[in-house]
Amino acid sequence: MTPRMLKQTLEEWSREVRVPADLADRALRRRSRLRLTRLAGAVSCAAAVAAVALLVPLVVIPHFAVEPISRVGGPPVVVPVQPYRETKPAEDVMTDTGNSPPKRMIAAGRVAVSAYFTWRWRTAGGRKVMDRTWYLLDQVTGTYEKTDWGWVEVAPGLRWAAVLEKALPVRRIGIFDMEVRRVRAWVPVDRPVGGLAWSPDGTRLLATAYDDLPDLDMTTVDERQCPTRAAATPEDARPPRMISTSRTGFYVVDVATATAGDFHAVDPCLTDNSNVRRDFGWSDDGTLVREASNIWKRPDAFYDLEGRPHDAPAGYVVTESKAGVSPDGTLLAGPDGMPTKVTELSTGRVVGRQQVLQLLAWADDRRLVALGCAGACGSEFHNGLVLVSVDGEDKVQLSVYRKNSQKPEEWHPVLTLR
Amino acid sequence: MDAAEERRFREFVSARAPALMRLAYLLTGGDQHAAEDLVQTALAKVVTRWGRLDEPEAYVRQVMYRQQISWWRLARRQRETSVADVPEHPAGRAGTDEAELRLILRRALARLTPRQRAVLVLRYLEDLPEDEVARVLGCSVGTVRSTAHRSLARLRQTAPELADLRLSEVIS
Repeated sequence: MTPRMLKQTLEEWSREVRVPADLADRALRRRSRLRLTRLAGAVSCAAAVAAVALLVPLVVIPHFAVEPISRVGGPPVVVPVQPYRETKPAEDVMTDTGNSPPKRMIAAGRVAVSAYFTWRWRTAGGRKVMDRTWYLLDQVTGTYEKTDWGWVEVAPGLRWAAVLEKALPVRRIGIFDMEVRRVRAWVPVDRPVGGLAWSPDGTRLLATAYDDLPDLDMTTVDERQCPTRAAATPEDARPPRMISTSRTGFYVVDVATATAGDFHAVDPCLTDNSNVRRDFGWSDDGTLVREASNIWKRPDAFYDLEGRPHDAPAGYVVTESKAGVSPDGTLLAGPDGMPTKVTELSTGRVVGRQQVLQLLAWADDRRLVALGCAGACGSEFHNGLVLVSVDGEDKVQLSVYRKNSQKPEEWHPVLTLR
Repeated sequence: MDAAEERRFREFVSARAPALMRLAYLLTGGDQHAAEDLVQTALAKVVTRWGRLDEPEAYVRQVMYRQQISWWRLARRQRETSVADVPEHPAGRAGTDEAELRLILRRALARLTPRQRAVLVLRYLEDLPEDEVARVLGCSVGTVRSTAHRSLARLRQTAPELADLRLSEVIS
């Protein structure tokens, strides 16, 4: 055995450690306790000199200060991302009913408004393109910060975000540290991507690739068509459909090592969907790729992680709202349209109706974050975020009611598990 | 600590947490929980002095080294790793490849005292000369030298497969 082997062994061994995401929080919490219980009576020359050390400048330069320290034993971890674990938030409900767009953090139960965007149309090459301006939560200050990103997707836990630069689609994905407000790693991709989705455990990203602007208004463009076989079914013998999307496939990104795997092509003609932006998502268990159905009551489409069509996972429920099934799996949020309803999943029995427009996310097993409308609901577009109980009895306003949610420059919230 | 200082502290922790945790993991003999405890204790000390430290990372590391040794001494027992299995001794050196040797070595390292491990980490991972190791640990060069000698002897005792460890090369 040699010093080289000793060094390699130490480096290899050290890479097995898990890096908690909340070390700074722990240290800050511990600060006050430490003041009272500072270790006294330190023994040995080591401890005796420790006190002196406070008075003298330190010159020790760590020799493994540059990341990564080693490539021994596997790819280097460059982003200390940890699997998401639900924790009880310090503040159950956080509102901002004084600012539109919101300035202060909005949250209820297990979800928070992690980001929001405003939008407007611009013209590019004679076509209309939707431009978003993203605002990202800063948990340290409890405020939202305007960004220059072209796309933002916050991971469950609110510790990390994935970002894309403007001029979508783009050829690199940024892993943004929400705590220190900077990109910790860039993940290059061969084919440009325009949409992102974090896996349920917050350790992987699904990046949807496009070969043209994903937010282009292509409704008048007729340059690509699905093959006849895809459209001509006994029920639907119409001429071939136009392919309205420029979506080409996806990448699965391993966030810890900041590496994208192979590109996986997906035929856009496999599903009926006239949207240009058709981002992929994850199945609830994170094992499959999901393409949300654009047609009411039609099930979502699923693919394996290689992009091959796949059966729906066991227990899959066709949902009619963004909220879907309650965390405990017993209740199902009903479709948009006031009043909304919640049914018992096993029996279909209605267990509550709510005077809101849309059920967006479950705050817990008995409450939902919803889109509610102001006053007597004279306009469905005069709406904002509310927290409503399943029985509809309790309602808390979370945000300002927007004057007209369909108008350019209005803000649109993104809800994420916190 | 104001909001700007807290932001800088968080940035420092975010950037250096992987390296600090790796060091702590080695110092605690591969104990994840003890490593987290060691790092957060050291960082809590840094918080109280944040803004007055020219080299916060060097300070954190020094606190970690000394803290670990201090805890061990106070406890009068080793804070040993959960790697509890005594390494099995193969019939002979022949056929033991380098990967296997590294595994054996790791297990043997886990059985050293915190002070012994600290000396080896400083000396052979961080590549510090003996006088620097002595300064970090607050001991004499002679203590560092004798500790390193005992550490290597204990490695050989724990794992005879490492008997050909070249002492003269290691203790240069």
